[in-house]
Amino acid sequence: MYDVFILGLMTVGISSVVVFSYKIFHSRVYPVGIVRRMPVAQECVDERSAELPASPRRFQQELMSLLEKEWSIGEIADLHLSETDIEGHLQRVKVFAKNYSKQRRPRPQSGREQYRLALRLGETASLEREDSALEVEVKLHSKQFEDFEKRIRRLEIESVQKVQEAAEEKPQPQPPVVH
Amino acid sequence: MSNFDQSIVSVSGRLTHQWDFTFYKNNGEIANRVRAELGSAQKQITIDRDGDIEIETNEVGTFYVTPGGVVAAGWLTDSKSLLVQQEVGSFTRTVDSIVKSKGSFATETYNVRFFFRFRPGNSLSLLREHGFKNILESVLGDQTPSDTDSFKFSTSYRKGGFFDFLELEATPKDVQLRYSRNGSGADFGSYHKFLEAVDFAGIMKDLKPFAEVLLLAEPQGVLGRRSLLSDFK
Repeated sequence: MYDVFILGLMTVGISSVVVFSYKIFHSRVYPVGIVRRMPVAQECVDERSAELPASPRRFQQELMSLLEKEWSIGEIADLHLSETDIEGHLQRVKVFAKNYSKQRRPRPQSGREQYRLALRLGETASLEREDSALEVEVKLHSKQFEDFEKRIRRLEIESVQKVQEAAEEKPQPQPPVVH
Repeated sequence: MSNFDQSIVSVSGRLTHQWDFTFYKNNGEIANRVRAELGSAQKQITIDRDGDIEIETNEVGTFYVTPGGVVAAGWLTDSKSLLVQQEVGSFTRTVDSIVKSKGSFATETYNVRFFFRFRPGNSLSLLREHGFKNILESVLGDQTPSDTDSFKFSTSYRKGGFFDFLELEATPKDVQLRYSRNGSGADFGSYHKFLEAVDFAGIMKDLKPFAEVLLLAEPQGVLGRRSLLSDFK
C-alpha cells in the first residue's frame, strides 16, 4: 500500500516536471519573469510583423495559403506563431521569392524551401539592399549613353581630323621638270 | 563630281532596346558569340572597365555593346559612298549581327548620325554672312557684337515619320555639322530596314548647298579627299 502511494507520488512528480519543462521551453517567459532570448529569425519576423495589420480574415487566408503550400498542421503549430507572425513570415517569403526570381536563380519548389532559404539568406534588409543596387544599375543605364555620346563625339572629330590633316601633309604632285 | 560628294563623313548609329538585366554576368559569352558572328570583319574585341563590349572592325568603325543597346561610331566614308547600297550594307549587317548575338529584346529606338567637319579660312565671319547674324540680332538687336569667338546652333523637328536633329558648331578652327535621324523601334524590324527608310540621298541633297559654301572657302590642300580616304583605309 505504501509502495503504491510512493509510486503514485513519483508518477505525479515526474509528470509535473515534464509538463513544466515543456511549457518553460516553449514559453518566452521564465517563471521568475526573465524574458528568454528570442532566436534571431524570430526577432526579424516580430519587427516586421509589428507593422502589419492583424485581420482574422487575412489570417485565415494566409493560413490556407500555408496549407496549400504543403505545410502540415504540425509544422505550422511547431512554429508557435501568432496571426501577425504568420503574415510576417509569408510576406518575407513573398519578398524573397520576388527578388529571387528577379535574379533568375533556380527557384525553390515549395513554400517551405522558400521560407528556409529566406531565413538563411534573405534577411529583409539585405534583400532591400539588392533591390536598390538594381535600381542604381538601371539609373546608370540612362546616364550611360551620355558618356557614350561624349566618346562618339571625340571619335568623330579625331577620326575626321586625322584624315584631313594627313591630306594636308600629303605631298602635292610636282609638275614634271624639263631639262 | 562636286566637292561635297568627296567630303569625308563620319557615320555613327545607335540601337536601343529593353534593358538586359543579365548583361554584366554574360558579357563574356556575348563577346564570344559576336566574335563568331562577325568572323574576319572584326579586328579586336575587348570588354572595357565598365563591362561593356568594344568591337573594332576592319571597315566600318567601332561598336560598343551595352545592356541597353548597340552604339556604332567612327565609320569613315564619303557622301557619295553613302548612296551606294553595298557600302552601307556592311555597316548595317554589323549592327544587326551584334544585336542578334545579344538575344531577343524589343527595340526601342534607332538612330543614325552624319558628321562633317569643314575648315573654311574665315569660318565665323562666313557663317555670320550666311545668315546666322540674323539669329544673333533677333536676340541682341542693335547690341549684336561685330565679332564672335564661337557659334553653336541646334534644332530638332519631325520629318516623314522620323525625328531629326541638326547641330552646327563653329570655332575659328573649324565648322562641325551633325545631322541625326531617329526612328521608333516599333516601326522597323531591323537596323537594316531602318537605314533603308532613312533616305540618305534626301539628307545629302538638303545639306549640299550649305556644305558647298563652306567647302569652297577651304584651302586647296584639303581637296582630293576621296583618294586620301582610300589610302587611309
